Amino acid sequence: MKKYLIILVLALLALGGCKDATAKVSNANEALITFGNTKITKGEVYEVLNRQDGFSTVLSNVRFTILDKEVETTQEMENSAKEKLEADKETYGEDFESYIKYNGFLTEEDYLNKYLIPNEKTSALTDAYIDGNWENILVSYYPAQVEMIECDEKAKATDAVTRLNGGESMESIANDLSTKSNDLYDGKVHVVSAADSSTLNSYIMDFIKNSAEPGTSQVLENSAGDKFYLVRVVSKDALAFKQSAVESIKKASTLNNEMMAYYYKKYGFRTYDVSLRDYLRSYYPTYLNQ
Amino acid sequence: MKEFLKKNWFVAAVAVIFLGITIFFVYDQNKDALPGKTARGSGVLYSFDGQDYTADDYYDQLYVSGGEDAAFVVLQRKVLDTVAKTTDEMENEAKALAQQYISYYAQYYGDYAETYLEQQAEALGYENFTQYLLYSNKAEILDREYVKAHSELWSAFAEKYNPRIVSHALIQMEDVNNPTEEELAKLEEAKKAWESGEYTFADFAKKYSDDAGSAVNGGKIGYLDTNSYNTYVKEFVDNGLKPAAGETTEWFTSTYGYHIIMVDSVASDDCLEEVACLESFFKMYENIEKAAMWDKMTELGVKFNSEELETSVKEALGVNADGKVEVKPAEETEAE
Repeated sequence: MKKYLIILVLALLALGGCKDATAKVSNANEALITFGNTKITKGEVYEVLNRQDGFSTVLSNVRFTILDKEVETTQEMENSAKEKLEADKETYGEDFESYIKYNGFLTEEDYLNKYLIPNEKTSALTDAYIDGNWENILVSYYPAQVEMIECDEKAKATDAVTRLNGGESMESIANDLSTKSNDLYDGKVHVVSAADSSTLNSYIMDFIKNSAEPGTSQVLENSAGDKFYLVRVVSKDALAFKQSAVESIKKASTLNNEMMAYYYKKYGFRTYDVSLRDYLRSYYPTYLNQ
Repeated sequence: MKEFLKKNWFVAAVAVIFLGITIFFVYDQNKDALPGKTARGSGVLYSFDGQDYTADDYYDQLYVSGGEDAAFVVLQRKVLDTVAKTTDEMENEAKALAQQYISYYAQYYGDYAETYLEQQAEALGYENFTQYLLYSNKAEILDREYVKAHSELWSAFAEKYNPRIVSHALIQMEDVNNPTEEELAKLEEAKKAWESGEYTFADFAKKYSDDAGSAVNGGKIGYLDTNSYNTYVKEFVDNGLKPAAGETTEWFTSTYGYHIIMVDSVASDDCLEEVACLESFFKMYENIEKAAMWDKMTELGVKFNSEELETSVKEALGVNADGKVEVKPAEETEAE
């Protein structure tokens, strides 16, 4: 009785040492090269390949599977990709072969089929994703038609407010008072979204985000106190300028990850390898749903 | 059973509590553990849309473009392990060197420097940057052994590059063209001391040299040859290349002051201990490293289980139809 208890406890304790799983190749001890008692095995080569690849091939495989399932390759896409191929060949000239090899493509056909066409399909997928999740996208990216100016003195910004209240157009005011340090500060109507948050001052973005209706801001000042902004939200009815809104949103660096996370979940992505899990946890945590 | 429990109720109670704690411990350890899965005889890396992608699938896909290179990387490392076993001292030296590299690269990459170097090493198939440095060190040992075993290569190299190990003493001057009285007095004292014959050069340098970095090591500078103009001022190299082993230069000037150089050795064994000497050697014979590696592989009797792999390794090392890596000076290879 005592013996069985001891065995049970030891077995349980052994189970307590169970580690996260690592996916191993079959016949890991198969020798590819030998000398003396030393072997270079398939398992060791796999480790090096894995280390060098860093799971970028896994991400590509999943991306291609998503594209194959969600987007049909159209003649238009193929034609567009071929045009880009010709443009790249012209740009790089004699160095084109080296350029594609440097980027991991063995042949021109490889480059077309594994890079250019998938890029066309990704653009189509992004359009479909935005369309299919329109309401949530509007909340996250708040596209708006706006007119903006930037002044380098507060007095100019105040003057701009006076002139605007007097009925003058933003474009006309911008011609006199705006620094036009950015194309968006020309007083003309532009479509902006959260995708522009790295370019535009955070106070501008907050004003646009929080504006439920068209309206004009107070003078907004940057944190350094040397730039002053006037923002007029012309419209937040994104359906009325949908194409421009979509083009703006597509520039967002967060959109691709958000979209991929959606499809990873949709198709039940699950990993059984601790290194892959830890990699995704570090770089793409939203892709994991386990 | 009842009787047993009646008699040993306390022991039974302790056993039940202990069992409970053990079960909870096992549960707690395993609750976040990632479960594995196997399919088609191999571990599953991930599943997507009901399809399993295994480690074998991943291996097969990666092997197409990089498998032979990866096998070559592992082979070279195992060959180098026969050249020099990894000691604690080697590991510590590699770690210290890694820190120096990180400090150097921090001026370009800031806090990202260490990550950058680790990623570069992983791209070459190493576990980390320290391992890369460790195997670079072992490769140097192999290359050194190869050159020592091929004295004809050394002779041609010595004739072209005039290699030597040198020490020096410096009497520093603010403006060598207008020395102060104090500086001149120090120079005279140093000259007399050296001419007296009372000092070994090392002791002389320790006492009189103003180059604090080398003086503490008896004036030892290290390796010098005709490639050293990128490292030292012209006057230093010009004068340092003249004497034979055991002889000194005359006193000469540079912008730093007055120098005297002692040629400690011109022997290959001494010179080859210096990394700068190996670097000069690689300039003259570009494929020394490949020749050394192939030589070692031949000596060990390396056998390949596939013709393609053997061909790939031989191509990478430049093995010719006679099964050798020909070592030729760089300009001969260029001319061809």
